[in-house]
Amino acid sequence: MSILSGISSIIIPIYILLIVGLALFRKVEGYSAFVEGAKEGLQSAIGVLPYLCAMLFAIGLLRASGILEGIGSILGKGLELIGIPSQLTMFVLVRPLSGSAALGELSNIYATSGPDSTAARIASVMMGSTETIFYTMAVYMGAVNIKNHRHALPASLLSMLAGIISAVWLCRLFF
Amino acid sequence: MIEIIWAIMIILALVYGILTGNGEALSSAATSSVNSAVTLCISLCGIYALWCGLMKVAEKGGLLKGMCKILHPVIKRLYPSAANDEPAKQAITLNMAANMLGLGNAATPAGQNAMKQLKRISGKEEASDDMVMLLVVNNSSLQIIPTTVIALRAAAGSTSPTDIVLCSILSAAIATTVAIFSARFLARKAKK
Repeated sequence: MSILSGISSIIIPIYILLIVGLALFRKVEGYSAFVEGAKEGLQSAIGVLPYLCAMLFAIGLLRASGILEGIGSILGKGLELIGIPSQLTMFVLVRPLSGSAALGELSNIYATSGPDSTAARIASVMMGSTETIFYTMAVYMGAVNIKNHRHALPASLLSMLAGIISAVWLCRLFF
Repeated sequence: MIEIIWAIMIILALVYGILTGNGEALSSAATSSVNSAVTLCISLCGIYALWCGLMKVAEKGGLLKGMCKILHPVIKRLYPSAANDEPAKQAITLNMAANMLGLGNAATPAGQNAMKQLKRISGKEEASDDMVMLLVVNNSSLQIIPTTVIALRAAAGSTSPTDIVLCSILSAAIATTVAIFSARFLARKAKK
């Protein structure tokens, strides 16, 4: 753990050191390059805002309406049939919608079932093998101003399903 | 498709919320959610400026070129339209590397840059096969060390917070494989 966290805490500083060091070594104008890149970055950030508003607005309404809890109580029984502990229902529901809500649910599972319980392990693995699909889609497609996403959502949902099922299956196999 | 899903999300939420007497919560969520989008965007501004700035320095300094060469065989297969396009290849390389290292903050601006390059190559108003592939791969998050989860488990008092790492990598690898195959399959089906 200490080695892992040690490594991950110096990845970013070393990476930046490499970039700037190499630029200096090659006699590239690093400062001007940074400014040029930062300008593009700021433009992207502002560019995705309308898409972000539209998506977070829909997600905000869904969460405030209480429908997720409603679906959760029905879905929980179905999930148990395929081997997913019912404590994970809310986590699975919010995972594609909001990263911070999913992290919140994850800590909630740790607190109620214990961080070393099967449910907690499965949720931890799912956190790593699934993504905030709707948010990512808004941010990526928004950056290029594209509204016709074609098969992006169905393919992402299939991959999320594979992440969920394999997480349950692998945890049952390993622990 | 996103048009329909967006409308369904909103209508479902509103109908359910009104019927269960959550009208008040709905009204406040409507404004607070767009407010949080703006707050999020402001914090993204700083992060994007930092990483896009560094990305430019890395591009000019030649660090990305070296990484590109290593990843070239993968990129050629996954994103055929980018195979002979240096800027697109560099952006994709950086996006892949940042994802694997778990640098989500660096991955997103690099991914957006890659999207722009891929759009320039395709020149169309709809998402190209390669753009969908990029999004789908990013939506399956292959990360070598899931640092956030490990930290969270350790904080909750786990006896061995890192024991999920292997499962996590395998599960993410399966999700990514399914992502790649389903993107390919659906792209081919759409062409028929």
